[in-house]
Amino acid sequence: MKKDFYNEEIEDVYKRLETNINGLSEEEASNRLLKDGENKLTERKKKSNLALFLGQFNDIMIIILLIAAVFSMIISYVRKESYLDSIVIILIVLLNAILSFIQEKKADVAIQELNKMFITNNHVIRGGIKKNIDVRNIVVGDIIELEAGDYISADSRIISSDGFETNESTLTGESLSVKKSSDVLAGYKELYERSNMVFAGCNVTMGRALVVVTSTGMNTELGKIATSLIDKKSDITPLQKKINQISKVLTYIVIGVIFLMMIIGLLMKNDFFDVLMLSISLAVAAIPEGLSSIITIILSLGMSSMAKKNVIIRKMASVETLGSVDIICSDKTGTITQNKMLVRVIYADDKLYSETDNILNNKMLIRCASNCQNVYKNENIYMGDETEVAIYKYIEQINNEVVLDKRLKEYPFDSERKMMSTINEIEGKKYSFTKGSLDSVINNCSFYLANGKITPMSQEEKKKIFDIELKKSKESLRMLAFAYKDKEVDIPEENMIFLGLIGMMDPPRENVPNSIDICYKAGIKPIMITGDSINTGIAIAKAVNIIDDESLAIEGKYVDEMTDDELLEKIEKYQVYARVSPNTKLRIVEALQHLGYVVAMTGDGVNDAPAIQKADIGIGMGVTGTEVVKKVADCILVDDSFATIVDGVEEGRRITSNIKKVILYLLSGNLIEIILVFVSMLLNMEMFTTIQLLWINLVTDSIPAVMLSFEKTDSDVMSNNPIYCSNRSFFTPLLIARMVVSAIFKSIIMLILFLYYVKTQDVATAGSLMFIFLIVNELLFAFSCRNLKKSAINKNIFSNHRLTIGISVLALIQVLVLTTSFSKILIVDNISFKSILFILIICVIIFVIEELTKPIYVKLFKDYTEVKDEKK
Amino acid sequence: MKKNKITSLTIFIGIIIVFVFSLVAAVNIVREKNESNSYYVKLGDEVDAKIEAIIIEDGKLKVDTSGNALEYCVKSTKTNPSINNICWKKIVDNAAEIAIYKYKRYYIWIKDVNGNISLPISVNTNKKS
Repeated sequence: MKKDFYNEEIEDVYKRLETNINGLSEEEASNRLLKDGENKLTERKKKSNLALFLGQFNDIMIIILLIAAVFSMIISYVRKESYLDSIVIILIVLLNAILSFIQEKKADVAIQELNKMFITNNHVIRGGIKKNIDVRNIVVGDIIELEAGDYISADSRIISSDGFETNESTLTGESLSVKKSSDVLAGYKELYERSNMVFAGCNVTMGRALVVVTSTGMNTELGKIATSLIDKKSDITPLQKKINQISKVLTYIVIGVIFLMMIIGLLMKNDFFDVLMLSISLAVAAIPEGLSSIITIILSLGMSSMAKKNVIIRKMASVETLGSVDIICSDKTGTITQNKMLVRVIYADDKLYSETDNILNNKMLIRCASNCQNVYKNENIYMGDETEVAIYKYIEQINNEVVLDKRLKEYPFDSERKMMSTINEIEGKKYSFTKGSLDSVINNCSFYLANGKITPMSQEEKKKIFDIELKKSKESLRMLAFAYKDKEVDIPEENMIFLGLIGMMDPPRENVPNSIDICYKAGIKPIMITGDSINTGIAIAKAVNIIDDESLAIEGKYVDEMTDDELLEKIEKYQVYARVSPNTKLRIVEALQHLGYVVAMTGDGVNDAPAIQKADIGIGMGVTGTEVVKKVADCILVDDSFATIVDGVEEGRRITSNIKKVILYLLSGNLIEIILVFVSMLLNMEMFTTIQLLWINLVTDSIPAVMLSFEKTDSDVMSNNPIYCSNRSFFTPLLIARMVVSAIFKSIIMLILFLYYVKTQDVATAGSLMFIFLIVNELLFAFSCRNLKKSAINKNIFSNHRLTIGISVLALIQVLVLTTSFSKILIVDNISFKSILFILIICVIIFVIEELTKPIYVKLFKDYTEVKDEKK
Repeated sequence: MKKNKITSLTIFIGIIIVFVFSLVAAVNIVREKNESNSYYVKLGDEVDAKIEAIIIEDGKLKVDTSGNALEYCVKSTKTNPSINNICWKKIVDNAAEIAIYKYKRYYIWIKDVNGNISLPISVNTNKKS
């Protein structure tokens, strides 16, 4: 049976991997790369271009249009008419599909470009020469030189090492560095026991090593975990649900009205093909042909605007999902806090000092703290445990240097003793220095040093020190105790002399309290999740205004004890979760989702990946996040900051609000067309040709619709307004009322005008004038849609410059097109200027009336729909 | 409960629209039912008028008639117009001129002084005549 690499001697490992100390040749490396593939986690199978393009036709509205095109061809054949209408419909469908395809591909490419930000290199020896190689090109058998700060890209066996330690928290959850060596191990070993192996996804915290790669990509330990995350079923996002709802509603309308038209038409003994032709017109009128392309463009623009706010969106629909968030579950360290442990307080000589006070008199404490640590400093990079780094930097700051005396022995930290000790030689004399938790240290101290005097330790003194430690812990400080011995140092951790305490804290980011306030005002509940102690969690949560009551905090072990039902009952109460395991995180997300919340979850380690994937919006950390997390996350924070999440939510809400405006804009026009096409059937004449309707829906509507997406944030976008909640339909009472009433009002006016012009001129001229009416109306209506509730007639009417320019350009295009020979299929010749002017005036009057009546709508109709079992 | 309100409102408005237009449709149906069939499609020789020529020129359809042609109706749908349809226009000096779209088929009817309506003549505006 094949041994594991950690059980083998290095020479045997070389033989097995067919490599040697000089590494592989470039040729051999290329062959292995071809055979085994790149050293990366497999992404979900991408759709081929053909599949992606064909997928654009998988839409009920597109299918209806294609059916309409087929019927149009039949009519053209039977009546020996031009096939122009059917050709144009098919061209429109194709153009739509091409545009959407291009947008999706562009978005994919943009995402891939963004992913390139996270590529790393390793020093690899090939043919005896050290080279800097993209980690994706690393193969089994490569020899890699690792040093402190390096990312480990593949599972490897250590050949040789020097003071080498790695952080394996991404795999094991253990945040302390692990010492590594090249010693052969006997028997089976768990992952965390394989001291002569390093694993992909981990980091080097100290020292240097030469390693030989034993597995890459999906064959690594990281890859095995990642496998379970790849085949995630993609849930429909809130935006997709809403768009599907629109499609459904429109489909019902189209089918219903066509059905009605057929019955009435036949009862009226209309020619069957006339009814069919008008049904085609109705289908074209009802379906907003440009909607899906426009939404894709808006989301794509949204991705760019979010990137400017340091939120990199990986999945386009997440733009809108982020704006719909009800709850943000955030990590503490690095997201809410700065991830910079700093010394804040020192207790020595019976006194409490702040970090700026002079404690140089307490030489022994400084000596103890200097020697009893394993920080590795390379130029300005400090590698090591974060508390040790904090103390190291503090001593550097007060003493200008960290003096390291000759170390004779080390007793490393372990979680049972909760202490670390070193034996050092100072001017020929031996000392032992110890640091650790106060409990462990003080119970092994028989004396204490204060003001240069060594005094026997008393119970009162112990109690005093414990009280100080408890008080400071409640202020979220992590307290470490220090002690030393200068006699019987070979038994270091007994009868010690207590020196003092050093307290450290990872301070909150400055902008977080403000962001938390914004969250509450916006109706978003912030929840803090931390692996730290509950006291630290409570202290930080209070400091940033997440909670003001300790009873809102709970430890993970109590959550684990709850059944699913109990958790559902209680989960809404808590906002701080401490000592939380990855499985607990997942349970928290699932429970909140079960209650109907839209949940955002942050994470950086691979253990966070399942919770991030389950969340409605998974947020990966750009700085500290692992590759696995970045792959499963829906978006990535460039700066890891909580405030950036809130900025992202605000931007998402702005985009959602603008999408609603676009829908109102597009569908209002469609509704007018549906009414008028229906009426024209009753009148036994054709008011609009198919091409005119397509021109309105595609050319006239598209540019203003896209420009509406550039509307700035509404003043109430971060208010606790249910309209921003995701479970709510776009079709609010206000939206429906505005659409329906506006459509009926305009339809009646247009009908009257149409009949007048038919009587005084002819059908084609009347139809042409109504076509012009619709164009002008759509251009003006775009201004009206800038704000659903407030009148557009104010000093800021042109403040959306893109919209103003877009409409101006569009108006110019319309004029140019309608005065060339192309216009013959859109309007008749020789329309009087007087008639056009009259139409323009009517349109402006209608626009003004609609703006003046907006307050009435706002008073009568809500701008949100109620959801079942309203939460909170 | 409130969702039902919106649905009810939508249905109510929908019913109004359907009712109004159904009324219009019903009126049209009843009118046409009450009218004698003799107004409808006639054999050519019962209509005391004739379309002599149809010319497409300068974006217009020109129709020359003879006999007692009183009114004409031109539209792109084939269904025979009722006697009261708004598309009927007076013929002056046996000639009529109507604006048209290109690449469309139009249907032309004439009505004589007795109210008899001709069979439709169709013309494709791609062609000149």
